[in-house]
Amino acid sequence: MAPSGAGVGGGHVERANPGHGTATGQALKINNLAAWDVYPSVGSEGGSRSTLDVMTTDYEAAMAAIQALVGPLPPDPEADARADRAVAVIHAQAAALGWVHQATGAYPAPPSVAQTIARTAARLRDVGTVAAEPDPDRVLIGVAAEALSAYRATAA
Amino acid sequence: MSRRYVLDDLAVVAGLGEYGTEHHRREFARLLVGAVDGGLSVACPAVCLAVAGQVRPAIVAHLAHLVATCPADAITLPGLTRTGMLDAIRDMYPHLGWPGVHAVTTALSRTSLLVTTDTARYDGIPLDVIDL
Repeated sequence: MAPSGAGVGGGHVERANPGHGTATGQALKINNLAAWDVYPSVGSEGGSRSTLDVMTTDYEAAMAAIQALVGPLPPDPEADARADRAVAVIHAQAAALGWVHQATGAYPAPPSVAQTIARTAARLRDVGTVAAEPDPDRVLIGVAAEALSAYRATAA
Repeated sequence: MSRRYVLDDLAVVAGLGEYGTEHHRREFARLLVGAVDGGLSVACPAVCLAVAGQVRPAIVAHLAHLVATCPADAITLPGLTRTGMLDAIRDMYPHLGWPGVHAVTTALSRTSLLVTTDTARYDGIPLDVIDL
């Protein structure tokens, strides 16, 4: 996963917001976590806005809702790095399983293949592997291909 | 229909403030941000949400607010529907309980990825499971 959401859940968000941002591309900032466990009201947006304002405000509201869900988290670059890596590996695991489905035309992935991917994914979550294996997508697709080949050899 | 992440009740509770580990909460936030930003969408089955809501009632309103403010279909709360698959899953895996049954049927309906903190819960069930 792209590191764009790295600050969400950490009590402070500041990101470029390329897909939903304002015309000027200004950074989005969300700092208010004071009432994170308070129910949001159904009609909380209110007021009249232009279409662009609505898009911007909705995106900000979505980010604020995510922060409200997870609650305040202290700024911690190391914890953010661990979470970034973990989620990048989750996305890579999803992509590898998707590749297996395409290759086999079946769902789910054969158990032995899924287990091999899961074991490698668990290892890759360690941030200590980032330097040697910075691209979990590539690693897990490769592992999936090898595991599928072994599975087919055994099944044949 | 495209694949998506399906969060079971265990994953949702783990992602909640004060109930989950800090690491799980950071992961949970990133999965949701990824969905809002155009990545794989995220589904939280209604029965799983109901269970999580017993742990922390405010989550229901927060998730509803998120669904209402994020791009369409990025984050959804699928309902429980009587289908042949539901009957089959109930018959074959009675140990799952309703949250697990709903998570499995939701994942299977779109050949999706079930995200949980306890992958052993789904041992022997033919679906793709990812550990949060």
